[in-house]
Amino acid sequence: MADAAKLKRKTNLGAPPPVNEASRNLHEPELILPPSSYLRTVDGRSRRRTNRTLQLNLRVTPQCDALIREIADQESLLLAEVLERALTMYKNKLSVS
Amino acid sequence: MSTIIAFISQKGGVGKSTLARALGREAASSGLEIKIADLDTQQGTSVDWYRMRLDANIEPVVPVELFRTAEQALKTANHYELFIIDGPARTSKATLEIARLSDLVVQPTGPAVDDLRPAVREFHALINEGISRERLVFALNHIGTETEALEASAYLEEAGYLVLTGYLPERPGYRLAQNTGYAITETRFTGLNEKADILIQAIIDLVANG
Repeated sequence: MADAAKLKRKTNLGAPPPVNEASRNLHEPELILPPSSYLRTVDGRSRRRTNRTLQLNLRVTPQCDALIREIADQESLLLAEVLERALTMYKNKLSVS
Repeated sequence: MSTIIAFISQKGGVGKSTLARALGREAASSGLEIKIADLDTQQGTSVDWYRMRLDANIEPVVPVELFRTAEQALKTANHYELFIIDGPARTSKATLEIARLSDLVVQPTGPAVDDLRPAVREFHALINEGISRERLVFALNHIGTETEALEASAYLEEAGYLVLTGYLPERPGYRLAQNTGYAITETRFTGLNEKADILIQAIIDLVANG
C-alpha cells in the first residue's frame, strides 16, 4: 500500500492545542473594576473617619510659614483655624469693598 | 436586520482595529449604513482614528462610537446595515455575548506559535459554548513571507478553523496610512491596498455566502 504520509505538509509550528485546552477567559467579567471600587482599607483611622475635615497640603514660603505659626501661637489657635479666620476676614473685606 | 461582524482577540496589536476600520471604510464606500463600535474604552484607538479622519476631511465618513459594554453596543446594532465590533484586547463573558449575536467572528493573529496557540484556545472556548464553527474565522496579520502565511494557515486549519483568503504583510505602509486617518485599503501603495482588499473581500464574501 502506498504511503501518502510523505506528502503531508510539514511545518515547524507543531500541533495546535486540542479542544480540551480551551481558554477559560469566557468566564471572566467584561469590565475590570479599579482596585478602589472593591478594596477598602479598614484600620483604626478609617473606622473613626467622619469626613468632617480633609487634608489640605500647601507649599508656602518660609516667611508665610513663620507668620501663620506666630499668629497661631499668639492666639492659641490651630494652623487651620488661622487660615479659616484669615479667609473669613478676606471674604468680609471683599464684600465691603 | 443588521449584519454584525466582530473582531475579537485576547491580545492587543493583532489587527482588530486595523481590519474593523478597513471593513468599515469599504462598506461605507459601497453606500452601506455602518457603525464601528469601539469597545476598548481605555484606548479608544478607533475613535481617535475617526477623529483624525474627520479632521483630514477623508471620504467616506466611517462613523465610530465608543461603548463601555458589549450589551450597550449590541442594543444599537439594528440601526445599521452593517455593525462592526472592534473588541477590546481581552476576551471575557462579553466575547461570548458578542459571538452569539454576530454573523461572523474574526480573530486576527500573527504567524508565530505564541500568537497561534492562544488564538486557537479562544476559538475552542467559543465552540465549547455552542458557537457554530462556520461563524468563526482567522485573519492572518504581520506576515513576513508567503511560507509563513502557508504554515500559519495550515496550523489553524488543522485546529479545525476557517482562515480568510489573503493576509496582511508586515509593512510600515499600513501604519503610515492609519497614522493619518486612512484605512489599510487606502495606503499610497497599490500592492498593499490590493492585499488588504483581498482580505476584506474574503470577510464580506464569507458573510454574504454564509
